[in-house]
Amino acid sequence: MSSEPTTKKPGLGGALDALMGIPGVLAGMVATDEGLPLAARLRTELDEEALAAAAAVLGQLGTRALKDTGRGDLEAVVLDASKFRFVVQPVALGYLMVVTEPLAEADPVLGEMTNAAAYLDEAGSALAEPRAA
Amino acid sequence: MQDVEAIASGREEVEAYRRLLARDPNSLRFAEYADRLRRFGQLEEALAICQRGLARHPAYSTGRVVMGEILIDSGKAQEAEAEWRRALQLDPRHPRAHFRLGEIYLTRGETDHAIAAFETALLHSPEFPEARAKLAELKGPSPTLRIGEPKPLEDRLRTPGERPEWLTSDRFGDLVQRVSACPSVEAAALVDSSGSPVSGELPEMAGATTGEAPMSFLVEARALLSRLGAGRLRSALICSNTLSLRCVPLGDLALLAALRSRSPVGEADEQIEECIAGGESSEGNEAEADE
Repeated sequence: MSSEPTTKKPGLGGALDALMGIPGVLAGMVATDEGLPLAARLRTELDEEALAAAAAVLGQLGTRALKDTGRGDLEAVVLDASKFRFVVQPVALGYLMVVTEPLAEADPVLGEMTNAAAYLDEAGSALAEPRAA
Repeated sequence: MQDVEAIASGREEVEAYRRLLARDPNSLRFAEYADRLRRFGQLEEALAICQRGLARHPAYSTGRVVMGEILIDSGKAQEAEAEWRRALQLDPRHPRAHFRLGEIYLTRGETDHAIAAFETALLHSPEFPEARAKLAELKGPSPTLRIGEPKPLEDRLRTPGERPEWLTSDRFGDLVQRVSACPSVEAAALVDSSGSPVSGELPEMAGATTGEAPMSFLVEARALLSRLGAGRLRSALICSNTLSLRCVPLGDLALLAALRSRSPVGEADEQIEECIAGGESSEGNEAEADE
């Protein structure tokens, strides 16, 4: 994990732009707890609404699994599928999700997501970019 | 309860619910009763029943959803929305609450939000015809990673798939032993579909050592990937501040590996994959030796 956040530009989109710079990343997304997209950067023909819903569902599934095991609060869920890898982290606004190619390295993505999540949490409600194109 | 189910429909059904609630004022079926009344246009009575029920069961999410439906039929959209949001706070997966919020977004012209709400409803309840119909109305076909049509039952990812041929019961212990010996792994177990270990031990979780919660996660995750058309589930990682659990589905079984604190994810994955590949290749070696 890198110690220096690379998220420099303000706004949700700025946080996602930094994630999109990582090799193998196909999409970045911030979604609410209800699965509504707040901001998205999509490199391919991925469906924004479906991704946002998936981010919320995965976050909720991870949270529930940890609650049932009594082993702390959710930090991340990584789902490796044959076509994509989904990485979800909870943030104050809801969930941050990155979709990568299936064989992309996980650690750089997780590291940068931790930076982006910290940035998003810090910026909080001051981030006035409700939706990105 | 039996008398309610015995009566097909109509006003007799409403009367059956009334009797049921009179006998058991604590019953959660107040929500169904209120819903029937609402459908018959008896909104005032429906409201009173629902209010009484929610006073006894304030955390009953379906009761909140029905209350919202009574309120929206009474022309109180804002209050209805508040009830549906409250229902989602109580149960973030409630499909009908997501669906109803989607309808609210539509009335406001917030089509993107509506689509997201309908898709979330479908993710939680794949057989939700109203949500599917709304989505079909709002969205044209999209090439990839979108909510798909329902698949035949046998294709659903709730069916776990075939266990690898090499993973016979006499190899369970060997696989777990090899995974447990990986530098990045603290403990490992092979669990069955109910989450009970068939080999190895898991770190204590909520006072138990079963893999029920991770197995449930895998089942739900499989279903999600199926809906997204994202392919087969290969593995999952659930991380908290005290646990990183790698879950690898192997047919009707799953390998669960608790990773050591701060182990790089990539390294741990490689080590576990090598162990699984080792099982596959050892089968090949034995076959060659037999020849």
